Amino acid sequence: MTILPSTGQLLAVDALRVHFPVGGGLFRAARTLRAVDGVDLTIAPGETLALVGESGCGKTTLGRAVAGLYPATAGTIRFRGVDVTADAARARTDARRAIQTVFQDPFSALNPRMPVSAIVIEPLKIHRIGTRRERAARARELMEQVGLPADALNRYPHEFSGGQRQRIAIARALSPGPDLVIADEPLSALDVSIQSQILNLMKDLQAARLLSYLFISHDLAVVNHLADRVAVMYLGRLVELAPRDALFRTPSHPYTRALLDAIPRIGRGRMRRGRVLAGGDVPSPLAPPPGCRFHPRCPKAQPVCREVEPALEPAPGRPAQVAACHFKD
Amino acid sequence: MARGELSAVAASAIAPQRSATGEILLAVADLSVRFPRDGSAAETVAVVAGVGYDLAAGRTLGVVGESGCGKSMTALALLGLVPPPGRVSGSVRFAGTELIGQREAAWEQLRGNRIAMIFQEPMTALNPVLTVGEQVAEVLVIHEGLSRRAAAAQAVDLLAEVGIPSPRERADSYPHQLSGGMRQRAMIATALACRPALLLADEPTTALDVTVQAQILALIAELQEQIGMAVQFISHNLGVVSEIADDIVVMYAGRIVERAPADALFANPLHPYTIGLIETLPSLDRRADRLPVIRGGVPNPAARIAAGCRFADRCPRAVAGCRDAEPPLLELAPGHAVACIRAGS
Repeated sequence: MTILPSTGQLLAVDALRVHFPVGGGLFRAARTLRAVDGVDLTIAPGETLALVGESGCGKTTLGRAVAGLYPATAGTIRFRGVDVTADAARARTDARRAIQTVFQDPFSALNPRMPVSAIVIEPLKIHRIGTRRERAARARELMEQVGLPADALNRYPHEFSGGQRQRIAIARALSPGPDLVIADEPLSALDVSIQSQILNLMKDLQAARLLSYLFISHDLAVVNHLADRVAVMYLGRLVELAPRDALFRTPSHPYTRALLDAIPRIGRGRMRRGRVLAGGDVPSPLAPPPGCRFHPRCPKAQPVCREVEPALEPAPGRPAQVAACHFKD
Repeated sequence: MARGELSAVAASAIAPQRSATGEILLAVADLSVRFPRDGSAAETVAVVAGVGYDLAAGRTLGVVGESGCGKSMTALALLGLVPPPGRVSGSVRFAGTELIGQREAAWEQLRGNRIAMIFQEPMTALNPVLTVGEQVAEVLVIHEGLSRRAAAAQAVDLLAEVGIPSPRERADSYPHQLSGGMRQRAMIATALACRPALLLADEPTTALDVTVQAQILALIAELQEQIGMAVQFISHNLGVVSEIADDIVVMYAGRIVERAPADALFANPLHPYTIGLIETLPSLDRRADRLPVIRGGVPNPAARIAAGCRFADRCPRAVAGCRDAEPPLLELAPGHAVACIRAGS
């Protein structure tokens, strides 16, 4: 099922499933963890699609599958119209260079034994881009773009703060000239006063070179400042996909509303009693509930929700906003 | 430390558990925590430097700041848990008794009993080889002198009280068998077993999803109302603190830079660091093309601190005078104190 036409899209993901076998042994069948269980989405050139949800919803797995770091169990990933789902197909195309990743933890994402120059040049070497001299020039240019001094190139990751390390990780991702950057919680490990610096840097870089972002985050307040469209994921499936303003102003899925309500906001004063909270925890993706996967936590759940899994369909009167709920707003 | 004060602490452990709301429970004055710099015994680094505040029974104090600002070390000093070779000086009066300088035996009477603490990562704070029920019961055996059987029964009641479903079965679970939110609930049950007068909560919701965070904040507020305890809630997130605190202390590089009732702090922040923290926080309610930033980075606590205001290097309003002397924390409005020579100008 395709929700939006995929023509002209940079990335088109169709019915993607990523399943992992868990446990199992000689005499015991492995169980299947359905981390991503049928997801469709597209990203246009220069667009930022935010992927939000709680831990365990599959957002990181989806991002890694798009980056080619996990194999797809089923479904397709097309990049500029070409199917790159299989690793062999990806190798024949430009997708490995053109899709780069920034990870959450800048402390573990950088090799501590490599100086920054080697870290940011490595993708160029792997993709056989440029001469030695050109790579060195590119490294200096990258330092300037991400706001680090040129002498940073001769230093090692441990000499930098978390925010500076995330700048190095961004420089590495930009190094081979990608079209799509998958940023997986790039701000979560940073101090609050540093987060806005990195957020602004990501916006500047995007404006300068028509980058697309798949921005994975649990923080809707951050997403509010960066995303063009927002996809909300729950237990392996998208429950809502909408342009940013529509999602924040008129959330259609009860889960989206619960996420928005749960965000602490300055100026609302102390905890108001009677605020609607999503109860309980995210159920295990090893045994997702039948019917709508959100029904055990949903304030609007009816008998039908326990039996029929709702499809992702436009909200009433808002064709660009789709939600998977029998009782969507 | 006089012996007489020691016995006063022991006595307070069996005093009525409920103190009247509004009466000062905790008075911290000129509290400092120093560590030797790079092994040199002569030179020290103050990771907490001259911190002072009061906390009344039944009230919630939010302590806000970024990593390395000294907010967690302040809490550890209140429990006598500053790791060696750290040295604590100043005064901490809890229910009228001076805590600084007392012996370990007296601290043991207080910890987990009159003053309890919950931490960010319940997986590392709970014992992985004991069941959740055993850990809650242990507190009751140690401090209330209950028998194992009675403590186990009461532990189940406590797990129910913090909203753990099927508490009888869950009491037999090990921490790794619970979700992050359930583990945090279990840790809260352990902390509240003895109905403490003061709960120190150090980033208790930071590792949790937002929906679960909202549940835990609501739970803490509800239990506080029941027990009448004071809460010192430590967080890097002003948004979270605004949901729970009556009063707020903002710390930077070991010092309090602003102290105010929560409403006043958000309506009229005076310190440039506080203003920066509020402005840079991504918000649902306003959107800017570019977010305002606080330039530079959080200083390393071990770095040598130059004379003058510690925030001067990052401050958009800094003038030459800021580097002359450390600005004192002055009360500019009732209950609203700020350490900035330019505040109000």
